[in-house]
Amino acid sequence: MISFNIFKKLDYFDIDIAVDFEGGILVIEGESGAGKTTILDCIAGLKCPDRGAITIGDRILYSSHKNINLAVKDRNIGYSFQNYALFPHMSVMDNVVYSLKCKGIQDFSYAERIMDSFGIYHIKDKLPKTISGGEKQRTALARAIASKPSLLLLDEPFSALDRNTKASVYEEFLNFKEHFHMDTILITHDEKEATLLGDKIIKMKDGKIIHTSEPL
Amino acid sequence: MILNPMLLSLKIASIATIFSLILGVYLARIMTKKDFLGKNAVEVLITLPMVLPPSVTGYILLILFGRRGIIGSWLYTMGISLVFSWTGAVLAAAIVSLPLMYQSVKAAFINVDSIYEKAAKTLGASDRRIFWTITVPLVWPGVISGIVLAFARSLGEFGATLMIAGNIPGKTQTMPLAIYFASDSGDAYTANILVGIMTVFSFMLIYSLNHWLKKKNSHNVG
Repeated sequence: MISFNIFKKLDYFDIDIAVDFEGGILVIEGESGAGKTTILDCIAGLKCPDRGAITIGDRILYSSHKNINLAVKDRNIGYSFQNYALFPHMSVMDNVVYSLKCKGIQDFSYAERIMDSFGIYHIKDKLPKTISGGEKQRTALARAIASKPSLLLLDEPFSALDRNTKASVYEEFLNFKEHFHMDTILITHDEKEATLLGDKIIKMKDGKIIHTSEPL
Repeated sequence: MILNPMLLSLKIASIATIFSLILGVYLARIMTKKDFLGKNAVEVLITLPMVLPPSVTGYILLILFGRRGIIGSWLYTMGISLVFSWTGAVLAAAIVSLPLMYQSVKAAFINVDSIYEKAAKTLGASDRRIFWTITVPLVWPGVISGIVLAFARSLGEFGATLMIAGNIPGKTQTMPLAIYFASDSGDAYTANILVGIMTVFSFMLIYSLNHWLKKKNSHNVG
C-alpha cells in the first residue's frame, strides 16, 4: 500500500491531495502547471511538503506529525525525469549502473539483464546524444529501476516521443509492468495514455484532485 | 637576461594559476549555491582587481601584506615575508587573475542544468559524489577556459607585481618587468625578443583554447 497526503503552498495555488493505492500503476493526469511534478518531487524527497505524510507499506518516508523526513538517497525511489536527464558525459551503461556504484554494488548482472530486456544492451557504450528518443526513454527507465527501488516515479515519460515510437513504447511498458511488478506513479497530460496504462487514475487541477477512476 | 625572466614568469604564473583555480572554483561554487548577507559585496570584491588599475591592487596588497600590514605582520612573525620576493609576485598574479578564473567557472556552474544533480541525488549519490562525478565533468570546459585565461593574465601581470615584489633581476624580475626596464634602459634587443616571445606565446595559448572550445561545442551539437 502506498499513501501520500501532501499539502504544499505554491505561488498561484496550494497542493492539497490525499491518495492511497494498493499497487500497480497510479497515473496522475492533468494539464501543465497542475502541480504534478511537485508531487513527485515531494515523494522523492527533492522538495519538502509543508505538512502531510508519505508512506510505502509500513515505511514512513515523510511525516510532519512524527517529524520524519528521510534523505533522498535513503528513500529507495526510482525517478525518471521529463526529458530523461541522462548524464550527457556518461555512456548508456554508466548511466544505468550509476545507482549501483553509489551503493558500492559491483555486480551489474541485474542491470545488464534489464538493458538486455529493454533492447539497449547493444548501445551500452554510446553517449546519450547519439541515441534515439525511444532508446533514451528506455535508458532512463533502466537507470531508474537498476537498483530495485520500492517505488518508481515517471514524469511524462513518453511526452518527448513521436506518435509512432509512442505506440511501440506503450506496448513495451505494459510488458515491463508484467515482468517487473514495480509499483509506479506516472504523470501525464494525455488522457488516452492515462486510460491505457493506469490501474488507478487521478485527475488533478490547480493542486487538487478533481476525479478518481480505476479502469477495468 | 632573457631565460631568467622567462623561467621565473612561467613558475610564478603556474603557481598563481593553481591558487587562483582552487580559490576560484571554491568561490564560484559558494556563490552559485548559497545565499547570504553581503553576497553582492563579496562578488564585487572578487571582480574588483579586473577593473582597478594594477598599481592600486598592488598598493592594497602592500598595505595588507607588507611587513607592517595587517596580514603581513602576522606572517612576518612566522618568518614569511611576501614583499620583494617571488612569492609576493605569485600573490599579485593570483589576485589579478582570480576574477577571470571566477567568472569562467561561475558561468560554467550556472550553465549546468540542476536536473542532472537532482537525478544523481535520486540515484543515491552523496553531495561529494555528485560534485565529482556530475558537476566537475560538466563544468570542465569552463574550468579549462578559466585556467588558460588566468595563466595568460598571470604571465602578463606588471603593475601589482612591481608594487609588491619590486624588480630584482633573477629574483622577482618577470618578463613584463624585464621588458619595461630593458626598454627604459635602451636595450631594444632584449625588449624585442621578450615582447616577441610573450606575444606569440599568449596568441598560441588563446588560439588553442578557442580552437578546443569550438571543437568541443561542435561535438556537443552533433
